[in-house]
Amino acid sequence: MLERLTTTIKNLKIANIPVGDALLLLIGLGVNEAIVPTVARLIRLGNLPSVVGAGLGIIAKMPAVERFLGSTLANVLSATAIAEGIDEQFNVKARAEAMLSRLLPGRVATAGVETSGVEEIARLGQAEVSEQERRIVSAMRARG
Amino acid sequence: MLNHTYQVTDKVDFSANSTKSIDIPETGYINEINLLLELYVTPATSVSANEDALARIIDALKITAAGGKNYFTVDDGRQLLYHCFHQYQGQLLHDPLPSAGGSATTVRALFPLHFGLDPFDSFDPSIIIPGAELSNLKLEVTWGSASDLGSGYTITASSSQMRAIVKELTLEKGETRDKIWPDGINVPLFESRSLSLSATASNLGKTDDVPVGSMLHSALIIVLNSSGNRSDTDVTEFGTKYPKLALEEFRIDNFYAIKGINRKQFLLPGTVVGQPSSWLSDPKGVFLFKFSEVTGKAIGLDLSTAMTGDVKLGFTVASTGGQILILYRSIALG
Repeated sequence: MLERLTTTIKNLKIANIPVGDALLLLIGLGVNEAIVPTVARLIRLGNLPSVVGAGLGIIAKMPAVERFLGSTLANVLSATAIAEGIDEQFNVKARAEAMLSRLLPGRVATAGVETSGVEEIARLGQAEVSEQERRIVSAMRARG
Repeated sequence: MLNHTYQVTDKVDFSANSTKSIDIPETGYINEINLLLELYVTPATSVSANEDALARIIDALKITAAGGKNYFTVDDGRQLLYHCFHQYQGQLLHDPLPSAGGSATTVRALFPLHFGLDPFDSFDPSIIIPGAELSNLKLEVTWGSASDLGSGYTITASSSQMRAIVKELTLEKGETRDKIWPDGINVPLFESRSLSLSATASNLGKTDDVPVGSMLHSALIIVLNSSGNRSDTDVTEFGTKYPKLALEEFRIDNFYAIKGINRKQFLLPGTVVGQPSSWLSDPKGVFLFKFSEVTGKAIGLDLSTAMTGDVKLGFTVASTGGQILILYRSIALG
């Protein structure tokens, strides 16, 4: 039923850039970011949000549901549900960010906590971004 | 994650010259403990109040847990008072003592002890005491006596106490600590020192080795004269010293300038209605030095790999007989 609409969105391009794919991905992530944590809280599966994500991924691909959603949207919702479940379970995004921030030079943008390094005291071994700062930044991000 | 505020049922009862403690419930990750002092005081027909009387009644205060964990220590209630004073721009509940010949009354002072970097966000998760993971978490107060208030006051012990109002983050069912603090937690580490001013010292000659092993955020300095009152003149200069580098990175050769800098830095009050008259201008003998002054980073100075003696605070001492109280605030990995 929704296939025509989602195909229109999917094919949307601006200056030959496939904006439609990105839009569909965001829609899928938005839907699943709302659904997966809520369902994971309501249905206790040994505190395994990844199982909820996988379950929703399977549901989205069930023939009756897929016929309603259309294969494009079903594929997107299925993939993002599984991704969201895995992220809820293992916090993959935050861990990847934390790992990259260790490797990347420069300052860390923070919400509410000022960690701007004006000038480092290199002679004293002042780290560019200390472990304490990294922890504060990730706590603030997780808090939203 | 839930924001949870409650008053601990037990209270630390006042008992002159004794140490009393209460258990703090181990239910969450503590952001803030508001310590409410209540003293039932009867004045004589002639009284004389001490400076910072309501703080002096506290001889020491600690927050500890099993395993030798010591999150907060002061060895004089004035360190607690002026730490809070700088955090909250001087806006503290702090009743005056009753007048001579007046009625017996309950006087109150609130010491809002916030552990995170943003004191105006009660549930700021930047630095916390992980109560839910600790055992034997205690608030311990060593009380002074009525003479700490001044002369002519009597305290009724049975109606005097300290209460604790806790603000903490609690996990919801199924939630884990890693969800809120994916990279781990930071915990507070407050350490108190006292330097006796037994001799004069020039050129920042009186020094103290700052604590190492963690991130050093700030140092609260209180200079007391030989009478035990705060003084602007016993110490005349202040600075930081790095002996191995032959470096003085911060130095101010005028005690009044340090206080002036503090006033604008922490938006301290010029006048506060209802507060002690000593707060109507810059409080004598007190300043808070943030190590962001030397690093440019709000979090402070990273001394996780430093050795004792690498960084010192230096004071030039003009008069003897007094002491310098220092409250170091560090941020440690939890």
